Amino acid sequence: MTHGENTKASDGTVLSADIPLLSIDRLTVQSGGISLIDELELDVPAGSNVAIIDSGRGPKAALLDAICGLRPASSGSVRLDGRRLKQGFSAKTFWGVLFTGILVGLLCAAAAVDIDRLWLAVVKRGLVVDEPFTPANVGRRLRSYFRAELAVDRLAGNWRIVTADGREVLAVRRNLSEARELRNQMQAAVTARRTGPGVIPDITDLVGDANEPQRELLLDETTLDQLAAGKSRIRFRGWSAFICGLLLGLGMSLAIWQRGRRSPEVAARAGVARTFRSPRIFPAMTVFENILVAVEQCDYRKSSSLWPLINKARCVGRTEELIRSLGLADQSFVFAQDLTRYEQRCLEVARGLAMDPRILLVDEPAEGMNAQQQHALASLLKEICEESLTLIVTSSDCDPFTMICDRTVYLSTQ
Amino acid sequence: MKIQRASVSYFAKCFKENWDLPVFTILALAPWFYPALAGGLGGQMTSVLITCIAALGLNVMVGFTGFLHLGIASFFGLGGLFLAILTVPMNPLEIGFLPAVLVSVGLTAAIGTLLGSPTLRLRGEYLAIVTLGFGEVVRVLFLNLENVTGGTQGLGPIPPPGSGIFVSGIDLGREFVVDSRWFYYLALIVLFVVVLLVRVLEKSPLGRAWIAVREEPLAAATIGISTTKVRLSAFTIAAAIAGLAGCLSVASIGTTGDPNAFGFNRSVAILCAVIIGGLGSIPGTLVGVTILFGFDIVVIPSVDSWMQRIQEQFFDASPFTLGSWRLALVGIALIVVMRFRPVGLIPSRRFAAEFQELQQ
Repeated sequence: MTHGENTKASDGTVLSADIPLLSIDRLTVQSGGISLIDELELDVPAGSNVAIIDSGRGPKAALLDAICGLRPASSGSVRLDGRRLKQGFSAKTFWGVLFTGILVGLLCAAAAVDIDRLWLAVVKRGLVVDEPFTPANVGRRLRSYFRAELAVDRLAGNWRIVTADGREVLAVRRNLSEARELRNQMQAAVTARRTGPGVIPDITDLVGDANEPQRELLLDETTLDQLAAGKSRIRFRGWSAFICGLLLGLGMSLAIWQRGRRSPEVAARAGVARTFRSPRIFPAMTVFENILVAVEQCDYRKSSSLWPLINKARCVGRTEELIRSLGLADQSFVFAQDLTRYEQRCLEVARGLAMDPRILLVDEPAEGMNAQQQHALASLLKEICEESLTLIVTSSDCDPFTMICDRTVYLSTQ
Repeated sequence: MKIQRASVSYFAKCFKENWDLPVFTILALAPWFYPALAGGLGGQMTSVLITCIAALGLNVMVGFTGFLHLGIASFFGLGGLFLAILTVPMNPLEIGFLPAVLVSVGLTAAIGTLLGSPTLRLRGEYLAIVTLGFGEVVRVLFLNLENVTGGTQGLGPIPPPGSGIFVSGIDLGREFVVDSRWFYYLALIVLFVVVLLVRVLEKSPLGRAWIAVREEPLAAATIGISTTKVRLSAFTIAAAIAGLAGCLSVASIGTTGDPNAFGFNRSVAILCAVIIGGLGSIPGTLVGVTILFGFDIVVIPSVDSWMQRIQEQFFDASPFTLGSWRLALVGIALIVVMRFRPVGLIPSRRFAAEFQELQQ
């Protein structure tokens, strides 16, 4: 199927004759191993009304669902104005994904380097030793935690020399200066062990060498080895957790983005409105609110203002106009669940129109209505579609709705 | 007779529409007419008011957006913890009360968003389980991050709001500690602001989008409502309001206390209060909390002390206390309310309509 032969003459809304408003290219939709739609090709030029007729229920619904993004297509594409109904990878997405990744990475790293011990080392130890809480001091304590250096701590009037995370106590002294001196000696020993035999020791280590016997007294070989390994251990833990978290966060947010790419919201924003076979109205909202929600969303998108600044008067005006045009003025403040099937269908159409759509998909409007109501709604739809709106109606038989269309497509079921 | 009835129903209608100002005026004047509120009862009433704030936050989530949230107390606790970390003299930050509240509410809201983002596709029971798990994770973290949170003892002492501010020679902080009316009024004012805020939100486009997503998510998506944003905003606002309540609670007690108080029990109690009062209804939520928590922490202790006095006068037997039957009474009350008024005590019009539809 190519362009419709009998395109309705519309008032100059067809932008270019080459690109149809909606073009469906080799669309296949499968459900549970059965293909509901197999390689369908359909072009709908702007301003034309198309009726899709099929005796079965599945394929019609599947087609509409695929167009408005409720159901993923197995293959093929749906384009509106030559553009696929998919969300692109914008700069906003990029920064969002990156931010999430870094945030998750930092959380993982915080867990891996033990945020509790970090807090102890950076905040509490400073208070115990009475160091002022200046950025320089904090930075120094942070560095010393990540280098797994020894620290001086206080418990019950005694000064203790502890590992950076405060888990192991290496020595206890009565006064602070003595403890600090001992800590410096121990740290020198640990640093010397870390740099390894291959590195030429600098001057402090040479001084340390002169007091060789004393250092032997301070720490035995195994403890020294353990302390020397601490630095690489904490750094390895922190970085590996950060990288794992970063990858996890990036992957997760990319997956979320990918799943939301072809969503009904995206199609709705591009200008595809639809109604359902059994009307999906908001039952416990009034008719007015039902339409106002859609008007506000539309206004919000168009005016690109923040939601508290939406032009209330304009929204209310538009809503009232829509209610009047669909003949629901008397039921304005009735809960939508109390309407008749015909009124609910009108309401759904009004809600669809409130989005200012370019194309309106109406799914089996004849369902559950008598002939009179069908004619009434059909003439309403015809009136609406005079104004540069493209209509796609599905039906299982020839009814008043197929009469208002200028093209009929039969889906053949094999 | 007829006229009288008409005028009564007219007043009832007026009151139903404009209940907030009279109720808050009465509450504001109450300490003058009922002196106990300035004394021992003042602190308990304050905690009822604070729970009302948290319940309003939960109402945004459960009532308006329709997602079952079983971890609201963890956000309550998180708000309090952040405030404590920022203000406790043990920690070096020691910033003032107001900026600390703003920062901790912001952080709690951010955590709410973080919890919301990976659970975007969950609904119903599954989401409830995630929030339940989150609540427990927060509680256990509070217990185990001893250096940050103070473990089972909690962080304290938290300086009262306005400490260090002198108004004509009076230290406001000292006043807060000495006179429980100060906290009563602070909680009352914050509650009033939150009531107004929630009402504005309900009537705003965002509020309508919440309700649309609750009622018919598929249709909401096809009219271009971003379900992601709607859900995240509900999570964030609920967390922020609960965090604010947590800040007030922690400041009025003076310490974060035992983290187990922020566990599942508190979450479910608040949820029960919201359901008893009426989902999606602001006055309903307030009434539900007042009945459930007010019964528990105001009525029972006073009735018990009164009964004890009488029993000591007349009987020798070991005194009967209502306190030991507290939970049973609450349970019976829940069953009775749910049996005879399943939509809640003061249902919102919308929820009543929805319920009616469910019945059919």
